[in-house]
Amino acid sequence: MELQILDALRQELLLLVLRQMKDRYSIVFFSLLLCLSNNTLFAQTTLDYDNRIHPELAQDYMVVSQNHHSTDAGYQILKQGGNAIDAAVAVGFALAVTLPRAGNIGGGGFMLIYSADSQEVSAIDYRSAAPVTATSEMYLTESGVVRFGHLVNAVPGSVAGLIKAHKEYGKLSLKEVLRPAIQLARKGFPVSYDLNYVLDWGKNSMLANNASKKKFYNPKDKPLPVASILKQPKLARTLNIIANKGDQAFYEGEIADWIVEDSLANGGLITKGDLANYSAKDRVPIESFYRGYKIVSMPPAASGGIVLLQILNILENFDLTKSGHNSASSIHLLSEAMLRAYSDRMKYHGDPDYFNVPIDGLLDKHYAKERAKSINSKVKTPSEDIFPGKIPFIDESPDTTHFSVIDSDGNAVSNTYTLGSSFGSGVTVPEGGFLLNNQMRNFSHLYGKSDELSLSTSSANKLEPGKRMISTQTPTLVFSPEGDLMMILGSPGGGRIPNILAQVISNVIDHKLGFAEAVMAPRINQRVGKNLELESGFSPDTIELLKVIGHQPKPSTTMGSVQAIFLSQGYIHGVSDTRRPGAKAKGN
Amino acid sequence: MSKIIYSRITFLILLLFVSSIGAKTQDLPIIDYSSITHPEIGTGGMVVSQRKIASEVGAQILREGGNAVDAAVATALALAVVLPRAGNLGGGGFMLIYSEELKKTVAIDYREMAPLQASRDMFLDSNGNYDRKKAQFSLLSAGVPGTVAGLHYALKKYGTLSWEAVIDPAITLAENGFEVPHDLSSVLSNYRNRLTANEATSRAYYKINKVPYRAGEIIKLPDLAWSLKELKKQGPAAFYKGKIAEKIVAEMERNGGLITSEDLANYKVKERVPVKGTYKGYEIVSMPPSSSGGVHLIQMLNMLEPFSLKEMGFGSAQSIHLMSEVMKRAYADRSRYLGDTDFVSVPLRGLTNKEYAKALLKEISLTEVSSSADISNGNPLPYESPDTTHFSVMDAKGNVVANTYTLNFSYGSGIVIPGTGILMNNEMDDFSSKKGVPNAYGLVGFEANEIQAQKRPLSSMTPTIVFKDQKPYLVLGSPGGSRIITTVLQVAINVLEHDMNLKQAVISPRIHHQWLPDVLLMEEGFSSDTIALLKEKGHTIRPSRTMGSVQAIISKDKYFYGAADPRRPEAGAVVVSP
Repeated sequence: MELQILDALRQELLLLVLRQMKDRYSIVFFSLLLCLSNNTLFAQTTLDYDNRIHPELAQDYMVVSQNHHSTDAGYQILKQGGNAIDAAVAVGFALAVTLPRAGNIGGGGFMLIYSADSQEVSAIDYRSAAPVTATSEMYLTESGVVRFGHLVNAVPGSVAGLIKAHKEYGKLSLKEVLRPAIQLARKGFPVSYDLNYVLDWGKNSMLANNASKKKFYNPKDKPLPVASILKQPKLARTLNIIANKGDQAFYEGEIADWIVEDSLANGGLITKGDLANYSAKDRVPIESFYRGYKIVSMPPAASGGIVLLQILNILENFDLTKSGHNSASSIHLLSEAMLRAYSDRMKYHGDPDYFNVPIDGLLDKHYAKERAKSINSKVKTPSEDIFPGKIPFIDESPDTTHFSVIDSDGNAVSNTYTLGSSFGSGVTVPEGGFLLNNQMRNFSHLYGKSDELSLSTSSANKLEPGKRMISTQTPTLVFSPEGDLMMILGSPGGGRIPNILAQVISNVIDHKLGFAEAVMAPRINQRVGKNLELESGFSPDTIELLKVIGHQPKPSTTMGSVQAIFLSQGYIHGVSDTRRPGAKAKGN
Repeated sequence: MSKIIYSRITFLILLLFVSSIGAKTQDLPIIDYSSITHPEIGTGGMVVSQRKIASEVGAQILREGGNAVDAAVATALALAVVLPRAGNLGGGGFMLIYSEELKKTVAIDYREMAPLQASRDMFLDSNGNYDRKKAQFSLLSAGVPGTVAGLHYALKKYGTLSWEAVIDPAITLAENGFEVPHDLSSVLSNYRNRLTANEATSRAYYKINKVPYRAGEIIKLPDLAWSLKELKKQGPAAFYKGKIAEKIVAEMERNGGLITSEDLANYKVKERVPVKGTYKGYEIVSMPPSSSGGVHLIQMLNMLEPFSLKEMGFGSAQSIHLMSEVMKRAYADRSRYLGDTDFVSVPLRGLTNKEYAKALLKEISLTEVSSSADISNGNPLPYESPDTTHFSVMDAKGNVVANTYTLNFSYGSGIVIPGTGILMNNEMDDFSSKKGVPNAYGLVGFEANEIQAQKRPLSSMTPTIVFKDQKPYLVLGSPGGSRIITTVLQVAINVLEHDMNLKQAVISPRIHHQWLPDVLLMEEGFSSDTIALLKEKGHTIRPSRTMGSVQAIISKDKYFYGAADPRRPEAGAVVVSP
């Protein structure tokens, strides 16, 4: 309360002084003085009591991930003197142990690395890839695309990606970095309510596989009980082998043998050749400016980055601050921008080693301006006007996971990786003790089978041997207009990911929300051809106004899980998104 | 059988089948993926307080076989160490206890009492004007502390463990020290000038040269440890008659305070009859005077009951308008009628009567705002600091404790009694010091709450238990001064009416109107569309800093759901077992 009086007094003083000012320079001088006094008065106040929710504060380093055991693992590595990449790799392997539905070594993903020294961002694409013998016909059945089992396993990229990052940027030894994950697998950890719940929810694919069934369920098909200790000795052994022999053991050695043996015996397509030929790739990150802030994200085969940048490019043409946070008019603008960005995705996004994605054209500001011009602030644009034809979708599961890390030198990692659906294909490699992805579903299998333009028929994303399927995973970095790293963020959420990130970024830049508030604020989603989706928490008044504009808002389950780090005023602010229970930010 | 009958039977069988599946899944504590936040879930009991480290102390007591009261007293003593601005030994408060064995709720009033030498005009200067410094930051501002007596009374009458057992964890924390969180370091920095003005306080809470502790450093409180050990040896007598009493009286004599050894020896804990009400089938039990919280909570619920806030929707202009109008009338009554019932007569029955609520509703319009000036010719409230603290406890046997206690301002008067490490309250400022003259926040007093010797200053603290089918369902309370009552109201409505999960109910943004000033305060998080509509209705809206810090628990089937309010960092809900 006392601070409020001080605020009021200072405002009075300022007005008084400024009124006396006739001279432009003294105004500047005194304003500066006041700003400085502001800072010294509140030098120690990093907690803002205007916000209901506060970030985790630190000054040296921070890890934010969807699972507290894994966050602790990364934190330990940083405490030991490891850098951000050491911690990120530790978290990546730890999540494979503690967050089996999305953390993985049998899937793939994308990592952005910021080097404080060079001030450069590098991008590692370790998306999983198609086995050479795969063809789309194999995946099309009467009831749709095959959902789980060995056939949908793509060649996993996670181990290649994590090891590559470690080799090129890490400080500690691979053994040290893998130690926390191995411990967690050996000693086990208590099953949480959330894990128990998700194992039950995702049991169809899991119970169809003997190894998964034995590991995660009892003879009556009930999942591991809450508070029981889950030990994973086979996974511990696998991780130990990787710790000692590196990724060669996974792609050419004994682990590869285990994968292939199980695959070929069960109708899978992965061969030793497929594994041996897989490699994680360096990519050039894409970037764009939003109101002076530089947004850096993942290029194809991650297609989320382009969508995110396109959305922001379109939004830049509007005064969102004036429209107000989560007001009907802001939501309408977001929705219209999302529609337009997405419709391009359907046509143009694919693995850049196989398809020429017109990145520059898509990110061009003039192009965005044209798109923005077609937005009517009072009326919703019908989907057909944006994208003609039916739009069957590729299923992109909400179960991916993102984590963010920063170290005391200022190096940062933004990493999103996944198995595809929750628990991927449900297949556990029996000797290896780890789950395999179901990413083969994410190719446009209807290519050539239909004249309709859609994500399922896109030529850019058609299945080809060794090719990576597109993804909406969008690990992102944001830099302030002064050039300082300001945000490290990403999210699960399938097709919603870029939309989610656009909102969090706009919440901070346009609406000046506190960092935790920016992440916790309710989100919207707009897909082409579907109703506007709203998380719970929007005002009924806003919903009514949206209806007047022509939207038909539908309630939705929560969207995404943004585990983010924000940097401001010399402090590190870690925000764990509570949408997924068990998430944690920890730093020093 | 005819086709129709066949199909009907089939339909019924299917219906039964489906509904039985539904019934089974209701046994599970559902992880609810439609809510952005989730409560802590556990079995065996739960403790939720503004410092997770203190909640852990309480939870451990429960694990060791103690009941909710044992855990509550241990938590309260721990908070005196780790939350110095509100957790306390030198202040007072209120504890609501539901005893499963006795099947009844008791209300323990351990609010501070005015010293014998206190007088109505004691905070007026020679010109008859209210002297803020005297009323808030001098030793004169101290009421006779009730916390130690209150906690001991509760333990002896309703607990099962020994006083020694429940005070030990606090002693360990004070002696071995604890890690300073960012929150504490921030607050100590902000208040440095005020707090280091007193030598004993400066020595206790700052390093050499008045340097504030930084986050991550360990702070030890040796004097406080000494006091706690004296208390352990001698019980409350150490505070009210023994060595601690001596030091308090000596400091009072040295520096113009009024508390004498007679005052301390005379302190009395009062067991009151809780106030009760109902809301759509739930039974609401809360704190009676000398707190005004329970009465007005029930009064406001009575006024809201005839409506369907759920249909209006949380966060809609309509529901906010209605709540604001209801709050105005309740607070107008508060200023007029409420005081310490040992000294004034308060029409409790009348105020909590549903017919009275209906009568008040007649003056409320759903489309237009009413002006506060038109509502009553009474006078508004003295300011109450937001820095109080509440904690909630539920044990596996069915016992419940809701406890709110305070020093009044953050760190009370800022004065530590030398040698004891104990901060003194400045609760005397909660009296109305001068009729018709504003105190610190432009608020003016009325007769019911005038200063009198041995009287308790009126409070808004609202520890509350809500029962469903005669079993405890929800326990909650909050700090926030005059905003406590509206805070508790809104969280209760969020749970009982809007069906939010407990964490969502606690986190959701809040409003406040206290009749005078005639301003609707709104936390951030409401839609600008809603705010525009409210302005159209005629509301004067002001954005507010966060209000309250609700630490709450729900008990359902065999599960406990706990929600710590993130508005105050470091708050935490700790389960007894997963």
